[in-house]
Amino acid sequence: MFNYEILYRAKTIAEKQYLKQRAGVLGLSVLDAGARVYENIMGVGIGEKRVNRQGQGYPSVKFYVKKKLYNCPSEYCIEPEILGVETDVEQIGVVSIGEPIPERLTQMRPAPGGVSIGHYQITAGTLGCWVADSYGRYYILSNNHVLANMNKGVKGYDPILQPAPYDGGQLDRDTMGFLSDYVPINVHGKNVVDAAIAVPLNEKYIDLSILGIGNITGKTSPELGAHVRKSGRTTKVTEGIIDSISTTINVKMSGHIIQFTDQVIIRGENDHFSLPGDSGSVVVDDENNVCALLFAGSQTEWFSVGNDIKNVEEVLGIRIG
Amino acid sequence: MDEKDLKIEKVKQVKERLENKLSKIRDVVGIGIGKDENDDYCVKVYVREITDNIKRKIPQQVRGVPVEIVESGEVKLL
Repeated sequence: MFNYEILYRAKTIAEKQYLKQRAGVLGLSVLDAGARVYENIMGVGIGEKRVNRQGQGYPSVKFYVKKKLYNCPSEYCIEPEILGVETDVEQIGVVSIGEPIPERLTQMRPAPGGVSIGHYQITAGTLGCWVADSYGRYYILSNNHVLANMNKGVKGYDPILQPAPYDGGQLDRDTMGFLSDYVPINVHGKNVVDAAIAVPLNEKYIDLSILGIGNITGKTSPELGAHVRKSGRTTKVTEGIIDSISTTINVKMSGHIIQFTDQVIIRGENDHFSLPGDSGSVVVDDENNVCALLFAGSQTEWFSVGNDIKNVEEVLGIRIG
Repeated sequence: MDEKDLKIEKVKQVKERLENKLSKIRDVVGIGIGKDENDDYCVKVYVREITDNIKRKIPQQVRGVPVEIVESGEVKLL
């Protein structure tokens, strides 16, 4: 029979000696051997002594470590016994709280609007919504800089990943479709849209709704002062007010200033309306009518820019809803 | 044309004229049509930063159309 009180006291000593010292050791250089050893200990407890994975039928003070160290300086080694109780060291790796990946950043099939998507060579953007051509075929709508890698994409050939590369999207496994068409961005002239479409690999990938918003009713012209929402990869569903229309805006991009005309400016209501990664989100009114395709914003929290959706439909030859 | 169309037509003209005039000012980021706090149509001029220099260069109204200066910061792709 083992005295539980002794076991408990031994465990408490181990805790004090090894775990609680960590706080004091943290200030030392990471190269310090002691710091390394203490950093390595993730937990202390009471459990059955095991040798070569075989339970020995008696209790021990257990040290759970990230990695077993075999050339550890002797003064830092875990003692073989404490108060006559044997110690045991088990390698468990790093302990972390199992945080689920937000659904927008994971692979979704079918994929609704509002989730992470991108050309295989970009970081990440947002799948705006599904749109149809005159034959009733469905496409993913987002920005040129999201689906066509800023004019560099090859139509009918370049893979589109969902989730996007920045969110762990990999070729083949996460390939959702291919770049179909885009409106080239003219670095020196005037632009009206930053838009592109991609064709899905499989019809089963199509989900006509938008995450957190629901089904689209149709489209509408942006109205001054109208209350709007968008659903994006980074900031999810946010609300705003249309601040101006018919706006000419200069967008800074890798050293160039690119001009866009006939844009819609959206003012975030509470916080950011959008942040990097939200590019490609569609902006909808209270009746779920799409009025704009989001593509730019400023570091000033409230300010976002979208293309008027009627221009997007016109130049790409597609329709919303 | 009803009164509302006439109004917005005038604001559009003022916006275009201002656009040409202000396009050479580096700190001007954009120009659009908005509504002011009285719910009247106005021209909104978005600037990197509101400075005394900017305030001097941008008129408060043109042909009776109010002009509002709004600080937007620099605009980038998201």
